[in-house]
Amino acid sequence: MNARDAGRRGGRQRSAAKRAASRRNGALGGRPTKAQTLRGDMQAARAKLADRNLDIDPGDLDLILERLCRTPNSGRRFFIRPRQGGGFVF
Amino acid sequence: MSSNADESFLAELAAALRRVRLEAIVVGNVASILAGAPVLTQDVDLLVRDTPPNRRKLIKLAEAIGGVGPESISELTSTERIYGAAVPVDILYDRLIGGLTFASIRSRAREERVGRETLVVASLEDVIKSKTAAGRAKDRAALPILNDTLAVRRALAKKP
Repeated sequence: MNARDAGRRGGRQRSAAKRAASRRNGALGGRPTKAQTLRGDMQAARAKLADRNLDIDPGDLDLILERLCRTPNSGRRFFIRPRQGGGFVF
Repeated sequence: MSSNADESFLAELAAALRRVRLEAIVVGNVASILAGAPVLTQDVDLLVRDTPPNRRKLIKLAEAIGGVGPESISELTSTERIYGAAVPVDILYDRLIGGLTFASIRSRAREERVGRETLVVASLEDVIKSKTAAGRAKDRAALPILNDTLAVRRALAKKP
């Protein structure tokens, strides 16, 4: 028995535009961008920590949460290199 | 070096460790960063057991990542360094300051994905213990943010 036999419309549930969008990160009806996913994960972590009363500078807390929410291959930074003539560069 | 190149180098290092079959634990600030600490570093610290086979594997490791060595960096320490790779790799043998042995650090270590590879990484608690015992100015400077990171990790791990 297929969906149509069962009384449901069956067939394609999404428009051609949405199907095309699903292949484009960030498009309406498509996957969220990595940045949107990161922001969502950070908001969830912030909500979880809201009542913990951590004595941490808010700016530092944001940096820590961003690092914790970043996945492999999401632009994580590790190294700083000395420049000739002084200073450092990422 | 771009951020993607940073992770690519660690993945290359992990692949080289796998190929030469060297059991190594990432310690120091790279371990801190992989635990979520917002810090940066100039090198990678690896803890290995000091055995003749491992000494031979380290030479192969250096070649595999485009470097040479490892060579002693000072008469005052047993730490050695692989030079010439994209990032210097420091080799520490058997233990870290703070009474931390290879076996004890390994027992608390976790596996972390870098690129498509996996590294064995010391726990943030062990990194903090080692830096506290070392007590150098650069270690003391990093300790507040490392302790904050540990507090956040623990708070997030708690069930609501």
